[in-house]
Amino acid sequence: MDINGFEQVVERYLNGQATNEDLLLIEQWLQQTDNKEYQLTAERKKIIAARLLPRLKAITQTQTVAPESRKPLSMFPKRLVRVAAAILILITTGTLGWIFRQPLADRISPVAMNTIKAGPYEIKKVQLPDQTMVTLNTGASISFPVTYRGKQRTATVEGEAFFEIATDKHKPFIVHTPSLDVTVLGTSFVVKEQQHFATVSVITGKVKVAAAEQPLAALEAGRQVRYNKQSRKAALQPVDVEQVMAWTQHSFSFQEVPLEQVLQAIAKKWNVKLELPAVASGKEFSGDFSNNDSLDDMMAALALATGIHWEKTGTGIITITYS
Amino acid sequence: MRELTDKELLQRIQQDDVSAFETLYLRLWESLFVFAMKRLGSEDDAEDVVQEVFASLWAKRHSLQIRENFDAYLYSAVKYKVINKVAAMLQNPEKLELVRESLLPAVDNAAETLQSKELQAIVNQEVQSLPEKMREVYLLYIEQHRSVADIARVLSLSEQTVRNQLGLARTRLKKSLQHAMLLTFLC
Repeated sequence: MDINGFEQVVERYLNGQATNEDLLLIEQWLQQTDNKEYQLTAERKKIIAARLLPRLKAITQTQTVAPESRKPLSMFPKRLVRVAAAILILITTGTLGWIFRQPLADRISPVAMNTIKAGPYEIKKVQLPDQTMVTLNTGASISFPVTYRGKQRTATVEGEAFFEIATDKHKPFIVHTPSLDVTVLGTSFVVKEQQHFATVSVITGKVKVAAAEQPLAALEAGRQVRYNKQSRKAALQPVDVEQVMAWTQHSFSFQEVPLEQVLQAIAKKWNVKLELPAVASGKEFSGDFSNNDSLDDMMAALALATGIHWEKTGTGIITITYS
Repeated sequence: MRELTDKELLQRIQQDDVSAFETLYLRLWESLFVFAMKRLGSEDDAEDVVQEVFASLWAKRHSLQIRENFDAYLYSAVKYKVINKVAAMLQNPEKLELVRESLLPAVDNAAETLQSKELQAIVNQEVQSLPEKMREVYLLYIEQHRSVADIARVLSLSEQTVRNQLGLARTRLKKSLQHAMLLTFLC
């Protein structure tokens, strides 16, 4: 865009005559420029604060002081006033300014959010900006800011997810689910939100769990809290860590399992429907599936081992026939 | 003593409390300055923006009705002042170099982002309008990265049919994209 074109956009905007395209362009520009690298160094901050302070005083004085005497009269040399101003700013921004800087920054120029969803067929690994690794079970989703600033890290999940939180003692990580808030410093755990229950199972380290701002439990490794969403009651219980994490390995291990159960497990993993013959096959299956096996790979392996015949329709239903 | 919230400070400001105004200023100036600085790239102009946001807040303090959210008010105020400043920079011969080297490229980037979003929307729309089988083939191929042989098996089609459908889908999408891009060039 040339200068004239841009000038016209800006002019229309300020005159209240902006077209939809103008508004979109301005908003996009305002948002995109937020990612610009810019650091206000402590040194520059001091200088600018010192320049701003007398102007701040001028704002409130213009209304109380008559126009002809608006020029500030001071018995102190100007330079001295500036130094004093700089010191004052340093003291004040050192406390107030520091405390409020981050949340306000979030609200004035919000960080863009990422949302990632695992499809019905997939278990998905996601890396968050702080190197935290998240594994989403089928159909689960996660939202998180593109960068973490401020005093804490957050993410919002729906469904089931395994978190391996990157350790940062100064920035707690808070995972929000529709009904629970899980606060950790550096640890790994599985959250699972279902229709009636929400559970948090700790694999390593410690976590704090709260529901509706009320603390529920402090959990250690190998423990699980199971929260009833209707009664709002929580139960603490030991948990089999390997079993809770089994799905994150992307693999199956079957030892002499009835064929029908194997098929059901595979269908569940891939979220597809099965059509089985009315009479059980009486067959059993033993074998492992690796991370990279697709649904088709698994079915082909099963067919080869047990002699069943399978067919998949476009709508994702698998029809099984026993020969 | 606990810190007053922005809203409480604002209430005091509305009763002409100068020290509340100064507290709010000291609390907020840096965020506003950084916001303006990222857009304008010039310290003195960013300082002006901070100043103008607060000057107008003070001037309007009695008539101001901030019902929902003070931050939303601040955001729209700083946004308006920044754009106002851009208009002033465009009229200032001394700032033209900065405008050319930093501001305009950022605006161009934004325009490109919008255009690619628009093109993506056109593609999505066109994909939706494909005949059902063709769309199914296309989505399996493009979004799920399935092989032609795989798609043929899943949809019970011959591989040649899958290839034909893919070819047809591509031609249709290409045509609508070319049409859209031609329009953007002409505009």
